[in-house]
Amino acid sequence: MNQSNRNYETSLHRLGKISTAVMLVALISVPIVMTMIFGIEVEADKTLTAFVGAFSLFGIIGAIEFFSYAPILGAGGQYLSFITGNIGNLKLPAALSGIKIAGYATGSKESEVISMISIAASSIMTTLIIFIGMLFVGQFLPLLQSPFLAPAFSNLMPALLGALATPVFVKDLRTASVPCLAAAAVTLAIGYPMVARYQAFLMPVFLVIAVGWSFVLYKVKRSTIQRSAEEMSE
Amino acid sequence: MDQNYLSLANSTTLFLIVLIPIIIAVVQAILFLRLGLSEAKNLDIPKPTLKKVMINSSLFSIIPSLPIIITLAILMPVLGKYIPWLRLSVIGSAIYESMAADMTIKSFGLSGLGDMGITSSIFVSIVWVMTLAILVGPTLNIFLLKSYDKKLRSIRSSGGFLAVATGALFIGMLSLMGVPLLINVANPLGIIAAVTAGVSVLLLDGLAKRTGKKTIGEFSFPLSMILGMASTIVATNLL
Repeated sequence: MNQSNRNYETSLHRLGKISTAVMLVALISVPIVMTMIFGIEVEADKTLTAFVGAFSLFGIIGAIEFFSYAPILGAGGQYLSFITGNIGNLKLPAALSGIKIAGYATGSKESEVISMISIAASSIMTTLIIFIGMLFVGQFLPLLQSPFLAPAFSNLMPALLGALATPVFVKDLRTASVPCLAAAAVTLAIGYPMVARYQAFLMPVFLVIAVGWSFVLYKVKRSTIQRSAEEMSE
Repeated sequence: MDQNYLSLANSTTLFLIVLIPIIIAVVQAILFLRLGLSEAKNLDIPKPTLKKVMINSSLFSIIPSLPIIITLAILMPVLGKYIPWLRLSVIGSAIYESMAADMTIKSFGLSGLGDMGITSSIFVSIVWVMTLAILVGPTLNIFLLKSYDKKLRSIRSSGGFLAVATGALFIGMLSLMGVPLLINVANPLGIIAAVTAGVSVLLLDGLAKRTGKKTIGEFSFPLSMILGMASTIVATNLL
């Protein structure tokens, strides 16, 4: 690893850790300051009950997402997207689209930087839109919920994933075949609502299936190349 | 209904309190952007490429951000303006925030989001639960991401199969996210949207290659997404 690489990684993790810690302190300060300024007493037992329920679900999802997204988003993309949220519907597609436009291979050093830049640009734009939305929600809502546009917004995710996943699958049909068949089988077996509800829990399983199947293909390809090399030498 | 809680929820004081984390989120994004651009220079990534990436990401983000405004509008009558604004701008997502708020309201013996019995005390409890329950991911980033990232980098640099495994991870993630939507027969409009968007992106990418007009390829993803969404409007009016 050269000096420039090491400097970048040190700066990246320093910025990621410090900015995340600052954000966590700022977030936790919100209910603390509210309690202090408004002089409101919180019913600790009921709040704790609700917290345990929510944490047992979101805590596990957070841990799974931590391990699942890092290899795809890169460290910079992960620090950023875990702060601004909306990963599956905004940050991940923005990163993948950016990598596609730039034309670098996923997992390369360049793609990691492009992913981070895409997520940063997306985060700034989304924050701005939500701010404008908050100010003018009364004006926007009739348009967004109009019967004419309602089907389009209800089906944003299928449209987004259709546009995002199709070129990836077509480019590498052999690798995509087994994970796609597995996803179809699981959906047919337990139904779409259950898949949607447990998507975060199913994610590591599908990552293992995809990597496992890709490994099988890699081995087959290597042994074929080896065999042809041996035949050539004979 | 305790009227105090809504006046509190829509107060200027609360606006100023939640403004701080939102400003930090924007500053963080700008700092990462600067770091990314300086590293891109070291890696000799051409400036026009970076410009295209930033424009594309910004433009793409507009449409998927709009449903967040709908969630904002759904949460606002219950939680006021500023807490939903904060929670949907920082860490949160529409599903998580609605669920966390609903779970807290129910733990106080009420029926859930929209119940008229919410008090100032319950409101602050909701904010506590929404805030704390979602912090696992960022906390893990602080303590574990550096070592996890180091491990991932050494795996990649070791070459062989592990160097190409990222592509497979990518496919695994998209297969679980995309295929169930594509075969969800209960929502035929979703299937129409996915197929239209998928076919459109292939056609646009093909057209870009054939004509040599790179701009078509650069915007094929957001354009196809919009075409997919538009197809549902056409289908609704035709069917």
